[in-house]
Amino acid sequence: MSPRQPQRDHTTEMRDFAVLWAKAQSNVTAYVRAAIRNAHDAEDVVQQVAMAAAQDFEKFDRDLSFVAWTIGIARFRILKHLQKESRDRHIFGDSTLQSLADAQVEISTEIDDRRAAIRKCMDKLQPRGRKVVEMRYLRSMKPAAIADQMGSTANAVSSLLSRIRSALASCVNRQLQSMEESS
Amino acid sequence: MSEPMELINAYMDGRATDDQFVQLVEWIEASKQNARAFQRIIVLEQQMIDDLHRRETEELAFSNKATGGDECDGSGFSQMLAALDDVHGEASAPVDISDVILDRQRKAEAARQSRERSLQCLGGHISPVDTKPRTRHYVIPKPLFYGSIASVVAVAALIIWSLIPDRGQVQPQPQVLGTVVSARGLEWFDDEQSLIVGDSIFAEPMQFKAGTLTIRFAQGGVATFKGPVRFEPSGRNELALQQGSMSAEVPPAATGFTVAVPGGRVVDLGTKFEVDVHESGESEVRVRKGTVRALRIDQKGDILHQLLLNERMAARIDPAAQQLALLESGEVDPGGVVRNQEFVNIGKDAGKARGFGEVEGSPTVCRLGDGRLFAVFNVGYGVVSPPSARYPRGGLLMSAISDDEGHSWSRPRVFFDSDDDDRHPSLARLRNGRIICTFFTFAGDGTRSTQLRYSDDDGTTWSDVGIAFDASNSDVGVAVTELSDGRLAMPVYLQVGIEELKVGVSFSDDGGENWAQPVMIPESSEPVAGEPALIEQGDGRLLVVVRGSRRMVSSESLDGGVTWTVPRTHEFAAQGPSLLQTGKGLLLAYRPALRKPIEIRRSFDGGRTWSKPERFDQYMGSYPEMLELNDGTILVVYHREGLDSDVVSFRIRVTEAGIEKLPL
Repeated sequence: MSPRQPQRDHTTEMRDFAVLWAKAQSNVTAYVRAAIRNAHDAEDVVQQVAMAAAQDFEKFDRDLSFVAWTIGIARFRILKHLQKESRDRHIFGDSTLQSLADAQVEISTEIDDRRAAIRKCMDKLQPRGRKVVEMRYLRSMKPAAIADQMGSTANAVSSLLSRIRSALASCVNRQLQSMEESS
Repeated sequence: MSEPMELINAYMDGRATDDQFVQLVEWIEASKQNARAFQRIIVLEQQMIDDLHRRETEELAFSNKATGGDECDGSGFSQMLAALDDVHGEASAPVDISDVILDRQRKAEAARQSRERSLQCLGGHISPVDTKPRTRHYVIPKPLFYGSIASVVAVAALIIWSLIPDRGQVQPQPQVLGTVVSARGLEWFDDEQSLIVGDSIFAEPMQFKAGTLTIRFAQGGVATFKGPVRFEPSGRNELALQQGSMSAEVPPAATGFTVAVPGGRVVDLGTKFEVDVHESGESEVRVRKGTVRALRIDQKGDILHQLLLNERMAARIDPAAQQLALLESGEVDPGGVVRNQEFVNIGKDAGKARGFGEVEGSPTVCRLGDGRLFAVFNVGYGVVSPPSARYPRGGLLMSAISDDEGHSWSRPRVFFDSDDDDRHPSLARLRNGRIICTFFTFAGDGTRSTQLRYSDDDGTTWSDVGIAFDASNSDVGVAVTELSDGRLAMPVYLQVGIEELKVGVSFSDDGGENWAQPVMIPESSEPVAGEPALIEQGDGRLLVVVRGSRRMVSSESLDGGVTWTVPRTHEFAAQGPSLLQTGKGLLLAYRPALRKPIEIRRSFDGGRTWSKPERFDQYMGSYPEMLELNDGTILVVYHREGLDSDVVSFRIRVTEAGIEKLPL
């Protein structure tokens, strides 16, 4: 065995990990975002999950679901974050986090279809709605700041965001249904 | 009353109240279906964000292509290209893979500089969109995109790997949790303990026999302890009180100040309050100003039960009896707490009898032909009760009858129980004797529909349920009103397109058998939030009042509902409003805001201007409805909010001078 062989094995292992992580990351991110609403904090926790998963990757049983495994790691990381660092007033308990983890694993197979559907639905947003979601999600502006720019009220902006989410959810469901029917 | 989507939206936007959050947790845990529905909304939000980023990136790529860019020869990337095939063959979605890279780019700051340089050469025109490192995005030309993937991920992973051993080496420092601002006559159990003004407070147990100690916690909450007392500060805004008495005054910045007690917690929502923990382990919390949340929790810290307490209210947490209960008048504060004999419960604990818990809400009442009063209300395991594994039929409607003008009510019976959550009933008795009950059903998947039942024999038998009017799931009809010309009117709120909420009025010419498409009320400068109420005035004018996003709005029709005036915005908020015409003016009952008691106002100009509000209950309430009794007094029914919400009523008399509350 050449001296460089261990490094090559390690790199191969990391490539495998990267491929699996690429597929799992959306699910892990959604799960983390469910419990941690601050985007930067959530991002940090997702990174911690990635690090922990990379560290323990050799222990991962390839016959099992990688998504379930990483979401299991995420649950503990979320709990740790919520206990130690969270400034949120509203914190999910362990049992709720477990319920959401199970739910995310169950819907993990839908995620690619949903991504395709949301793209079509986003095309249907009216300019005002698009502007609001861009400010909210792309620029991380709070409803009050959006309201200032749009000459509206924070409540009105929150209400509009709520309706957009509901409408997009309905639209995605319709898209998925039509995809099912056409397949 | 909040629906799951409303709860989810409030949570996602960070504007959920404590009450809403508890409701959301209950709803999520009620069934796997609910948990999946919640996660699907979260996934939707995440994919919406991803899509926005994708669109922005594509726009920038197009822009860069149009403007041109420096070229690189790609040297130094042969290893990346070699790795391309390995990853390309397995990756399911390029966007996912780029997410991996972009996340690494955002996070691994140490590696960012060197990688950035390489990446710049990859495309020759990497375009930072934002100067903030956390939100930086790049455009990478597709021919070299996959080549970068494996190498960057591998590099990032190696960096992460190399960083792991360094983690955990930070030594924890004792944190200053507060400062002593007053210490008088302290006699410590432990002679070694002593504190003087200005001393820092850390997370360590404290107990003294006598005296008074005041601590300003780091986040601003001020707590005063009276000996004998045992407690332990546990955070910058929290402490555990094991035994003894304390009071707290909490500024807005410290909202959320928490006192842990045996088997529970007391969470400040902006207030002054007192807590006593007795030797028996029971705790009492009394609110002097503002609102607190009292919680009973299990050993894991999960919430079992909660009460929201307003000013002058009190509750007891008893871990041995596993109870959290509102303390009644006379027990704690004889001068302040509402006297219960002024309120009558309707169907008290009807939900408990159904194995649901203690949640009753949204009452409606009408007079039967024989003079008795007939009330219908919804019952569930939570404020919102869609079907769940444990309660597969969800919430239901129950009814009760009073033959003494509302002084007492019969044992409640089931009025209607579908496979979904049946909720928010409204009763109307027509001049021909027909009683119409409208309500809506809420399915576990979030869909809802307005339903209607009627009785032509004074409530003895009821028709089958029918859809009240042909409308989509997003449209909600409210109470039916019989107009002087015999038509029926039903205000509705509808979602138009995907972003607007509008209010209209639907009419029926055949006693409710068929309903016309709603006549829409013109758009208001104040966005509407639904919950309209309608009344016909003595001069034939129709008035609709609507819950606005911030303030109440109203509109009038002078032609029987054919056209409506541009809505007027009033100076106050009114949620779930209801109207009643009396000989002494038009009455408006409503909830001014979440966790507030109901209020009543009066108008002498047909609803154009309103008197100052009057409150008759200290407890937070929702969805009031009014009915004129035989003696000319008014019965007000509503529900007191919370996880053990009750349907209650009280009586008022309206005089020229004002509105007077009457003993029952």
